[in-house]
Amino acid sequence: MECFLAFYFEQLSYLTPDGNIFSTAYLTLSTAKSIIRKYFVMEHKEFFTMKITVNEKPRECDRDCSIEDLLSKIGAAPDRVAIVLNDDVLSPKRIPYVVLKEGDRVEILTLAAGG
Amino acid sequence: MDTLALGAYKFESRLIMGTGKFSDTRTMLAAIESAGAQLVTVALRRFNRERPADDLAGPLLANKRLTLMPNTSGAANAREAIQAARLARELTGSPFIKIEIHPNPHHLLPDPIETYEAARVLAGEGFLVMPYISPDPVLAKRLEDVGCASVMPLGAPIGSGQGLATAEMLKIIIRDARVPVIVDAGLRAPSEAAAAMEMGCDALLINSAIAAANDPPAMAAAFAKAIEAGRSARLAGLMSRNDTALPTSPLTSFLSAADEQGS
Repeated sequence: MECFLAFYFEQLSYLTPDGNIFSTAYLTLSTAKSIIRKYFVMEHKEFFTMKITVNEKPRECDRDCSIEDLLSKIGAAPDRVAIVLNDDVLSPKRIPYVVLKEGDRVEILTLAAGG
Repeated sequence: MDTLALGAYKFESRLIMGTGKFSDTRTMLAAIESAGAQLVTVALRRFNRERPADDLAGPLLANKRLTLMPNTSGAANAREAIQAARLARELTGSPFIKIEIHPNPHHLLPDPIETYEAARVLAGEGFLVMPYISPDPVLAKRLEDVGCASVMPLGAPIGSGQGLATAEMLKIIIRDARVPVIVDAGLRAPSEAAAAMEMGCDALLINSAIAAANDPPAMAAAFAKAIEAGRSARLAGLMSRNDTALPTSPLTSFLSAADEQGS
């Protein structure tokens, strides 16, 4: 990741040729990251995202996406869903500790009316 | 106190209610209330992003008087049903599981082989297993032997409203069972519910007949009364059937004697 940052810092100084020299010295790491994402995420998607399957539908998510991130992104309350990760039932206690990997299959289930 | 015992649980109400097919959650909750139901079924579904608002679990889990019995509807085989049961336990905290494996949407009749296998595994894991089955007395006995908390033979196909079409088979199951027998599916009228209870069923699971009524809460109350009446009648002991009339009044002929005098 560090070498990508250095690469993009260099690129950024080229991208601001209006006299106000864009200095990386003033950037915090998170600001640098967000600028980099904003400008380059579309070009180099594979560095930042991964493909997973959610309820049998393909989906892209951030590379460091946790189950909790995914749930909040799709608007599911963590205490109202049960998760199957690659055919294993995840107990609610484990959910906060699980970070997803490329190709993971996630099933998100909830209670519904039924007889 | 006459209670329905399932595992370590005891219920005063013998009306188990399904929560499907209601026009809205409010009507469903009102029907549960007026039925006095203490055990209600729920299903498991994939989370739907478009419809996150219909939160069923909230009000049902909040009602401390209710015990939830999740079902495995949607499972096509034992493996899927076992997984659904484990997930449902995580979601509800309830040990009850209604095993429902019906591969054919046209008749929704339960697969006995997959149901037996799922019941065997889940009973071993400590679930209170409530298998939905065809009214097969041999299967019912086998399920009892692997540790099911009850057996739930169907009265008629799910949602058909054909009543106690399987009455003769149910009688055999009731006679032989050592676990509660609960008729699940097929009933339409409270009179059928009363008849099932008089026959010796321990409880009934009613969904469509209540949900599809014009006034579900009122129909729920009617079923509750019928089930109570049927149960009381069963405990009171029905008189035996006779081929000939047996008089209820003395057959002395004083009336005809009086007629003769007056004429």
